[in-house]
Amino acid sequence: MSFRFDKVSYRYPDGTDALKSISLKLAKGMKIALVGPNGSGKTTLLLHLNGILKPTSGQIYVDDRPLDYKQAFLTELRRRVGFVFEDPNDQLFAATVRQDVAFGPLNMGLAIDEVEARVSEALESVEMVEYADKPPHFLSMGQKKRVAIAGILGMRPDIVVMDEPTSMLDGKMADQIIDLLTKLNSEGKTVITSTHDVDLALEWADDVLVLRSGTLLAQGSPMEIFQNEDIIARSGLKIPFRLELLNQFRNHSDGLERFPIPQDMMTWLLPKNARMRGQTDNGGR
Amino acid sequence: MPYFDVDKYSYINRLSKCSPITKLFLSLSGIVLSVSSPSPPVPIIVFSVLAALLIFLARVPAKFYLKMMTYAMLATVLNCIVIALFFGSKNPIAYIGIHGYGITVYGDAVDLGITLFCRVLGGVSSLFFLSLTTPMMDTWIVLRKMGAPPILVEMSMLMYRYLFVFLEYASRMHLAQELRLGYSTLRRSFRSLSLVATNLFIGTLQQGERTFTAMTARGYDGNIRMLTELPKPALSSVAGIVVFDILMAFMIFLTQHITVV
Repeated sequence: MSFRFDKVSYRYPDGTDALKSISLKLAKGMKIALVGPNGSGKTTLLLHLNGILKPTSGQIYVDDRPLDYKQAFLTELRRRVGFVFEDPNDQLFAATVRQDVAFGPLNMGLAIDEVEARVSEALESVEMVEYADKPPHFLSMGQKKRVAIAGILGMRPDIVVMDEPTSMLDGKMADQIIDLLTKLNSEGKTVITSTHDVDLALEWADDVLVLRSGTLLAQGSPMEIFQNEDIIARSGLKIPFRLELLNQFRNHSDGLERFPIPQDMMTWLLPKNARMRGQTDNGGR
Repeated sequence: MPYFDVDKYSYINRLSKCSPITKLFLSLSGIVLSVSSPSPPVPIIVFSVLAALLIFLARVPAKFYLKMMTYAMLATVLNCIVIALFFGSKNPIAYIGIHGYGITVYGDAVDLGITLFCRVLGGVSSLFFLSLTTPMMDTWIVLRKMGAPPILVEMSMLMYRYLFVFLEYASRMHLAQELRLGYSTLRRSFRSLSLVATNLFIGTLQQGERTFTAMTARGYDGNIRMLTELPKPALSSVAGIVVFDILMAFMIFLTQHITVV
């Protein structure tokens, strides 16, 4: 399932222009990160992917078909595009974990046996089986986020959209959520996230889109984006820690002659997903 | 995180996985028996049996249960005293007052007061038995199976869930105000409290909007569907309750003329 935005603009009823004529492509099977400071339009853009928001002007194409806002089309779209909201309290409305996860599958009109099978499967993949009969207010923030993810996995979506996956979580829990997203991607799902955590985007994503006040500044591989000083400066983001360190080493090359940094350390400084091709990226200088 | 202890025990007690239909049956029959008894003995037995079940079988801490009962019964005691003092017409047993200005206390009124107290005791303990052993979700499933209007069940489900969200929200606001001396004088307390109320009101509207969006994203079409599978009632416990109820019905018949005074 792929998306194409053609000059999409969105204005909120209060007059805020959240998206300004954005054109982009989101390819199938990728780990995609939308980065940008607060208020840059990340969430607004994501809400267009399942038809919750409708562009004020412009057109969205799903698998090269124009997105149709008729109910039948939207129902199918929302099944295929699972949306995990930033604050799990917005999403978890039912009195127990099991009922909440069952909500989506039940809305799809599946048989009860099938719903129950999917609920157990979804809870298993987020490791929350033992909490099935607990109410959401018994859970920690990280557990709530995992249940929110299970709630959309039960619908077996092709695409998992997650708004700010690591917000409100401590480091370890954030890592667990990211590992889970990576696992979902390796199972063939496209994963789209928004974040202002540049270190995360550099480490995790295959494709990075930089948003700034409702416009798309750049789209490309993490190394292309984050090593481009011009983009970083205009986006209002900071340079990821690893690249900052790498730059520091390079800028003090006289020191490096006396204390050469071993090549494997330089490689370590590169983000995981850039290490394979990393040699060509940093070899020039 | 703030939550009610009653809610907590309803999930962690030893009877929480039992069939809610059995528990509802026991609780409702306890209420009917207590209310229909014209004398104290049966309600007292109902109270003792349900209290014993709660404390020894469900393992709800006795101290917590007694505290809960005390709060509920305090208000009842006041009501019953008023009834005992000011009602009745037969069998005068005491006179309170000076020089002809006072009240005569009648025996039948004292009886009525005591019986009323016992009936409330039996009824309240039946209700507490249900609320302390049965998770809310089970109660809703039973209600829906019994044909309660879906809108009522759905609304109370959403209210239950967001009660806890807003309790946390309110206690955070309260703390933030307290740290900035918002409750240092009575006047400031009123002002701070009114601000919490206003903010909560706006907060609920916004939360409703966001929850609706999130539900729409999962295919919400105006009906909240739920899994309605429940544990089957154990025949032995249902039979036990029936025997108990019949026994108590006989007891009501036998003890109907028993009076305290």
